[in-house]
Order: sequence, then structure tokens, then C-alpha cells
Amino acid sequence: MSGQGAKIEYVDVSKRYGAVEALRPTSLTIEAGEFFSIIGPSGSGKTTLLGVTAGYVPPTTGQIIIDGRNVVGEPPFQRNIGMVFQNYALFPHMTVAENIGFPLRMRKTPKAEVAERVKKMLALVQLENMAQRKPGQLSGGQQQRIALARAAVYDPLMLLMDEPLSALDKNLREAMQDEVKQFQTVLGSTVLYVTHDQAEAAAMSDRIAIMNHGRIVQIGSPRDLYEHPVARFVASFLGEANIFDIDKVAPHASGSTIATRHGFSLVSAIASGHEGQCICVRPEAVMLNASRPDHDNVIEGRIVDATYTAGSLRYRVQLAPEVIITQRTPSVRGIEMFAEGATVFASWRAEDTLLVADD
Amino acid sequence: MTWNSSGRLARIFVVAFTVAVLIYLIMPTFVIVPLSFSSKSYLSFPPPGWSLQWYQTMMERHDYPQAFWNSIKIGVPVALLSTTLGTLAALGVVRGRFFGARPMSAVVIAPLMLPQIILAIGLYPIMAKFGLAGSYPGVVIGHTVICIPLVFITVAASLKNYHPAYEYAAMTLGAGWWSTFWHVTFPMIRVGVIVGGILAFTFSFDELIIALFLTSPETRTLPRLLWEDLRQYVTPIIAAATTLVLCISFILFGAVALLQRRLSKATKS
Repeated sequence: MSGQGAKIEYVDVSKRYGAVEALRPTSLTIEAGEFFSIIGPSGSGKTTLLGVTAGYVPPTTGQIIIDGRNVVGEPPFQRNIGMVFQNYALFPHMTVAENIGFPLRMRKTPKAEVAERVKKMLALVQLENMAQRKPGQLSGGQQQRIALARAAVYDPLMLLMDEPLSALDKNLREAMQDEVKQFQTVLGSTVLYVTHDQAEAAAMSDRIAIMNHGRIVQIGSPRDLYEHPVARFVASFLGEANIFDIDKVAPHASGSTIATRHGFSLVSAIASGHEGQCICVRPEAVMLNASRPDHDNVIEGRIVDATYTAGSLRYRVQLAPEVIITQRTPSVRGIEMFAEGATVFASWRAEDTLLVADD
Repeated sequence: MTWNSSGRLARIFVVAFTVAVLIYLIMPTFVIVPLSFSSKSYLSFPPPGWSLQWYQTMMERHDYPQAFWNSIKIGVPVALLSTTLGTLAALGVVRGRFFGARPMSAVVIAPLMLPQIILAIGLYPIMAKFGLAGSYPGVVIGHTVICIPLVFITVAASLKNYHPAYEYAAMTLGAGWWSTFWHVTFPMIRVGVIVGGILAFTFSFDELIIALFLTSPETRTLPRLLWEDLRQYVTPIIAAATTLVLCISFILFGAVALLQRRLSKATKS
């Protein structure tokens, strides 16, 4: 376990299936040791990007440079990449130890060394006493850990993970997020993690790329993406977003005044706004008051409904016949709740009126 | 009538109907068995008395043991050849991503759907031209044509039973094409391959029409000898030989059933 992941560069990598452009020319650099996630809806091209990296999908154009070597054209078994599959793909006819030892046996590693490294890996994922079991006798979480161990036992240049936690139930999934992250930190691997679950990606990643229609829309840290989305798609894919369509933007010295299509006049701290964008306001940025507050943006509305969940209280507020926004507050003990139909004033700061591309 | 008793009545009817269908399916096959133990030298049902003499006569004649060995000498290479070729065809059609994979599978299965007589008529002049008519290779090739689809169907079903991610996984883990097949694909389709091989052997062992066209008196199979004997003198020897064929076929079908049960258990775990 040398503990050094490789740096990966994608240069104009694309994939076309007949008339369908599954992946448009994409350039991207993943740093050594980085935990990099790709999120997007199904058909966004994220699985294709994973396939061309692993080597079982030949790209139509472009280069993939891993540790300075262009691997395009190399079959999967020469790339020295570890991959964890959605349903783990543990070989059912082999024991746990045989599964983990498989990549080492394929590399003609001496028997004694195979045994030793398998043992080390089993210790790392805390399943020492499961060595002689068959995968079918393990729980989903245990299979997941074995799949991780198998993909990492030969010190691959990078680890690819294809929705590895999607088959687990919610509580286990959250526990496994920490384990996967811990595993990566201990080994120092470069990880390319594909998921459609934005919360999962945000919990583990250094950076996230959001894909849609075969291209990367935005790359950034989880915080960057949530606080500074560049496009409507990003804003609404990551968490919840209240979107207002824009009618007219009037920039001035300290920001801009924006007329929305439904007749609201809002202020934003962004001075470079223009038509062709839309406004995004996060539910957490909105405050609700029974009386009109003194704030940058204030709109009178009516409570449609309230949902109390573990962690937050979520209101839907009707601002105009066709405009309903959501608002979130931490659900602290004894919080006073607005009744359905109550008149409230929704307000937020000019800094929270985000202007994003309307895609 | 209460709901309960009408339900019971329906169940009795279903069971009775099922038993009747089973009898209808199996009875004609088994009528031959008691005939082979007949004490008389003609076929009549039920037999007037019991004896093992026809089994003894069959073994003492030179043509029956020879035909039996011919059937095995043809069946075994047919099973091996069609298992290899059928498995390769299934791998190509199910796992390959090439244009025309679907029509290809129809072409592979075609020999099984077409009347065997057509195949036999077509094969005969070709075999004659290459000097293979009447030889072992000739009939082995003929049977293999029909047995490839049998193996193709069972192996393709095994392949469709699991996601190709297992093979992708093996390859990313460093296994080459051959290692991936040998360590991952083959163990997962093994039951399908073996079942296909047994079916191929059974088919070849029971087949008559192609054997009629492509075997000679030296290479004739048991079904062909039975057919020829039937046309001359109908003695319980035929029943004895048929019972032998039946026994072998049933043992092999039993093996297939057992293997398939193991397969379905393995997929569940």
C-alpha cells in the first residue's frame, strides 16, 4: 500500500453511439489523491465517462492521461485501475479471500505475498473473520467493503466507483460514506466517484462535476456549487432552489434591480446581471415573519403547508397565483409554527439573490 | 355448497387433470418397457409371460452392441464439438456488441427449427462430394449442426442470467481476455455448458433421420438399426434395445434436471 494516487487528465474525450453524443468533448484534470465525484441525472454521460476511464468503452475522440501515460487504446486489464461496481460484482463462486486475492493472482504475485496482502486488506475493512465465506453469505454493507478491498489491494493508480452505495438502505449508506472516505484517506488514492445522489457526493468529495446532456456544466467544491451555481440546472439539481424568471435587469453601482416575470422587484448584490438569466434563492436564505421586516427583498405571501422533518421545518409559501417558494428553518425545540393560510412576509438579503444562466 | 368445498372440488379437478395429462405424455413411451420382457417372439400387450431372453439375444447378436458403440462414438464428439462451438456462439451473440447480433442468434437456432429431413437432404451430396458420406466425421458434422443451437440456447440463458459487470470487474482487476473467461465467465455459465453438452449427446444418441442419410452399415447408430430391424422382423429385441435407449436418455435428463436445480439455487444465493 504505497498510498499515492495518480493524476488524471482528460483531453477532449468524447463518445458517440451512432447519432447519440453520449459524452461531448470533455477536458478535465483530477489531482493526485483527490476525491472527485460526478453527479447528474441518468443519461447525462457520467457512466460513459466512467466506462472510457475503466477501458471497457472506447472513446470516439480524445486522450486520457493517467500518470503521464495516454491509456486510450489500452484494454482494461493493462490500465491498473481499481473499480467498484454498483452491485459490487463480487465473484459468487470464490470466497471473500479469493475475491480480494484475484487481482494479485492475475499479476502473478507469489502466494505468500497474496495471503499477506489479503489479510491486511481484510483488517483494513474489519472483516478478518469472513475470509472463508462466499459473497452470498454477507450483508450488503459487508459486500461493499469487500468490493472496496478487492479494488484497492493491488495499489491501483486510481479507484473508480459506480454508485457503490445505491443498493444499501439509507442509514447504512450514510455510515458507509464515512467508511469510503476514511478508506480513501488512509490509502491516499485518487477516486472518481459516480452517483446521482448529490448529498452523498457532497459528503465525501473534494470537488464535484455536475453533468447534463453529455457535458460537464460546472466543477467546484460542494460549497462552491451550492452557493455559486452557474446555471439553473446546477441550482435545482443540488438541493432545493426557488427559481424566478427574469423580465428586466437594471445594474447599478452596488448590484442590480431585477423585475421578475411575475411582477416582483428584487435586488441582488450581483452587478453584472443580464437578461437570459434567472434568479435562484435557496430555501435556507429565506426568512418568514408575521409582520413586514426591514430587509433587502420582502414579499407578502400565504403559507400553503408546513412539513416538520428531523432537522428542518419546511414551508411552502404562495407569493403570487403561480409562484410558490419553499423556505427552510432548523427544527429547534419549541419553535413556533405558522398555520396554514397565515399571511407572512418572506424576505432575504441582496447577497442571496443569485443570478444564474437560464438553461 | 360452501365456498370452501367448491374450492376443494376445483383442486381435485386440477390434480386429476394434471395426472391425466402426465399419463397421456408418458404412457406411450413406457408401453414398450413391459414388451421387452415378453416370453413370446412377437409384440403383444400385455405380454403373455415374462423373460429376459430378448436382452440376452440382443447382446449375443453382433449388430446391436456395434450400433450401441457407434452411437456413443458419434455422440461424444458431437457433444464436445457442439459444446465448444455453441458456447462460443452464445458468447459472441450475448456479450458481443456488433451490428446484427440479434439476427445472428436466429441464424444459429435455425437448424433446430427447420425439418431435419431438409438438412439431411442438403448434407448428403456435400458429404458425398468430400467422401464423408457413411463415415464417422460425416454424421458427427451433421449432428453437430443441430446440436450447436441446443448448447447455444442453454449457454445464452446462463449468460443472460448475470450482468456483464462481473467480466468488466475481472478485466479492471487485471484479468486478460482468456483469464476473464476461465476464472469468471466459465464458472458462472458452467452449468449451462454442461446441460447443453448433455442435451447434445442425448439428441445425437436418439437421432434417426440424419443417421439414415449419413451412416453406413459400419457406422450405423442404434436408432438406425432399430428402424431397419422394424422393417424386417418385429421381435421383442427391438423393445429391449428401445428400453436401453430410454434408460440412458432418462438418466441424462435426470442429470440435467439436477444440474438446473443447482443452477437456480446458485443464482438465488
